Amino acid sequence: MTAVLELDAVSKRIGGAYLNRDVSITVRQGERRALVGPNGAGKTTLMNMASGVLRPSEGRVRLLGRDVTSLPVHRRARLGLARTFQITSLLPAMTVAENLAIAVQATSRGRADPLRPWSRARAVWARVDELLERGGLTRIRDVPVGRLAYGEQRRVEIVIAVANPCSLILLDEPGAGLSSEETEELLSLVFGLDPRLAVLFVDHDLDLVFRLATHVTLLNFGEVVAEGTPAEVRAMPVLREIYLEVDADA
Amino acid sequence: MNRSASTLAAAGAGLAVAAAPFYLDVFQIGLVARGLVWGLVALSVWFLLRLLNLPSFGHAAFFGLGAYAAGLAVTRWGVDNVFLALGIGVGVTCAAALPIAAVAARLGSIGFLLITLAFAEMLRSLAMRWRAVGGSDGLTGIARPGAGPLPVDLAGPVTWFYFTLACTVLCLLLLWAVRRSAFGGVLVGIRESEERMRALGYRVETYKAAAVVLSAGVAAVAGVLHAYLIRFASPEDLSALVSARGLILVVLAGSALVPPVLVAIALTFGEDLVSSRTENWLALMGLLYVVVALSGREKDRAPRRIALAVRRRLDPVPQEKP
Repeated sequence: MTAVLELDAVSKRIGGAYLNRDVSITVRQGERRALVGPNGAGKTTLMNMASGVLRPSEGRVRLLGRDVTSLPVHRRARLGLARTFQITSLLPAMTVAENLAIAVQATSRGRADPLRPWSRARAVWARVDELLERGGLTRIRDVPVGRLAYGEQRRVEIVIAVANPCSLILLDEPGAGLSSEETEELLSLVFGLDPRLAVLFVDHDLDLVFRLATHVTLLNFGEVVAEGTPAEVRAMPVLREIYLEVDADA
Repeated sequence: MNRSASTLAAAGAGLAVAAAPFYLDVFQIGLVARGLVWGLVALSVWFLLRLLNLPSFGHAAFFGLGAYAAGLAVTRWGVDNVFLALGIGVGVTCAAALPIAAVAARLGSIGFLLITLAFAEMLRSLAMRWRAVGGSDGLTGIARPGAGPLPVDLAGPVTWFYFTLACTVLCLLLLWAVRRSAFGGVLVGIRESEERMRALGYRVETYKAAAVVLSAGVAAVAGVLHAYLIRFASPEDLSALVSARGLILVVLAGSALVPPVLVAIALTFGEDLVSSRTENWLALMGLLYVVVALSGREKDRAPRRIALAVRRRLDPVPQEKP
């Protein structure tokens, strides 16, 4: 199957310290790859290099076979890369519908029309209502996002991220602050969207990860230490070594 | 106040302004025209502050550029058409605003405030030293150009007042339309979260720069009208006082679109009233600004909060309801 995202030997160095070192990850069409590892393992740094927030010190990033290493965030977004943030990042003063409309029209020609009333962009609002329906958000259509409960905000964020046709979605701790059930519900929402959609996600709930992911990459100290299907990685002793302390603490 | 009541109030005030020549003397009509000019400055500042949360402290640059362009158009370039002069003023200003906008759009609100101030001060010192545009004496002898196809003589105070009013209303409508357009929605989105907008594929800097240029264009209209109103353009038009006044008007007026214009007119009248009684009128004005600034961070409700604060002072014991 086609590789959607390729991180080719990427490193991120700040001064003499490596945040990521020589990491190669390929995410293929339809793959749900989980990125796991203890705090400080470089998961978010890696996500940021994939989305374009950070530029790797070494190595290349390819999206659908195209070298995007030097492309800024908004250009990668237009190539079909969607993402959510570790800390919820929405437009709090705007309603759920408006948040979605902003996302929907990001690729339309009328997005910068300075004179025609926004409310008359029928195609945009029709698509918004369709998305609200699919994401189960119709009930809170006109509520400012800042007033929503946290779980609802995360849901809105996911629907926004996939409002436009995309081939890859990066989810940085979609379950942060949510219960396991809520996280699972959220992830199933994403996974149910399109069987070809490639997903790269970070989560700390290993049970959940091993149940829902098709592939797992284990990071420690900025490097890949294990990779494979959930069953393979679960059987590796290195996983136990890294997570032993965490489990003992818990 | 609910929506329809405030619409009604704005309409009433608009009518009162439009009918001004029927109940005011020539001097006072001039004051209203001046108030409208400041209203335009306030509108241009309002646009950036309310939609993008960018406080500009450099709109004097755009106001002054418009004023100088208008003055040079009639005194040096032989232009005798007010629409052409407006076009030149806005065109020159927007062209000059483009590089400023490109730099300023990369900054957050404090950085934006400082860089716009820096640009305005640069232009002011340039105008002070440049003999060809009058240096520190400014441009004198600016006559109002003809009205082009319109069968009116703009030299009269009443016709000029109505011309100014028409320009103000057009700019008001333009900004109103932009606010409720898709572009306006994107600007509000950028105000809310630049990071999110980038992740969605919006080139944030371009939108911010476009908004700055649009705002500069409105400030330029004000500058052109001001130069023709007082028949004079000087480095003072580029001074930080102009920028400060624009910002203060917006802070005084709250978040709606029409109030800045009305507040500008009221304040122009107030200044005239106070300055005819005392030499220290600037101090009084300063006091008013201080009170508003102190009456809360929630600038939207400044007038009501002042009223509340005053009432608390006068009536310190909270009244119990029966």
